[in-house]
Amino acid sequence: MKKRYYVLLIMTFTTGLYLGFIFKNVPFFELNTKIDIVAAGNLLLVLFLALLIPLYVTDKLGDKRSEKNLLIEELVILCQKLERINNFLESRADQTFSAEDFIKTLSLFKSARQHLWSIETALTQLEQTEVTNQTNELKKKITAYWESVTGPKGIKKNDSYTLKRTFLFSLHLPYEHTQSHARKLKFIINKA
Amino acid sequence: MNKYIEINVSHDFTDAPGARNPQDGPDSGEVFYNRLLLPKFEEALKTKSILLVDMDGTFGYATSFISESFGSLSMKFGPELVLKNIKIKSDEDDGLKTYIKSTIKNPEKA
Repeated sequence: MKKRYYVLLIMTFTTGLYLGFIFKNVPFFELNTKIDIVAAGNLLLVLFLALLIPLYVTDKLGDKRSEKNLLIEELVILCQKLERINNFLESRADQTFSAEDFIKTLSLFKSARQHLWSIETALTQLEQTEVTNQTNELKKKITAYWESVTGPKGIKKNDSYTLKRTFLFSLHLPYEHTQSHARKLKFIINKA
Repeated sequence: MNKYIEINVSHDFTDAPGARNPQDGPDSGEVFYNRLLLPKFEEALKTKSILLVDMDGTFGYATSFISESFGSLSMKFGPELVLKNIKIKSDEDDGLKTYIKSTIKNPEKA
């Protein structure tokens, strides 16, 4: 994009030089020296816009903007799903965590994980290395959060199990890492 | 043409798998391993078949369940033999298949 811009700039400048040369030296043309400066400015502005619109605006419009917006919306939904898991666990702090709560937590994780994996193809189709790398990183973070909650030290499907507040403190970091990576990915997609 | 022996977790075991051990509650990974995964895998080896484990149809899995069941299988038979003779089906959670395979490859980590 930048290369095209510089080439165009050089071409415009060179054409200007040639035109100046022709007007000055070729006898069939007579230059009117009493030019209306506003009219000349308007002409230049029109020419400038005529070049700018196809080069800059059209490129921006065709820049997968709608796909990017959709993907960002999907990431917002993912963040909400993660927040739902966190809020649900927090609501059970220092309380008995029933088998039903255990199943609900697994189901929420399944939904959040599948959400990310389902948009992965669309994310990689943006063909941006940074987006692909960050998507893989987000997959690792969400898996690490899942492991922290449901791993050997995590929740049990046992009606006598209590979800201790100290255990919930240990989940803050993996949860926050996942959320912050999702946010980072949104910014990267927006800039891509 | 490969022959298949199938385990459908939701149908043959439960649609709400538990955590690691029976002390952690019912339908644990250890119970799944002893009751289904190990005998079916041994049968698959004996009959030169592939063990197809269908993970779909459940509410979800705890990582402790996966590490206890698939990790134990890998510890007993070695990652190569297990990966060669097992196939995981998970259309409902695309990432689960990769996770189980990585658990089989690194069972001690789990």
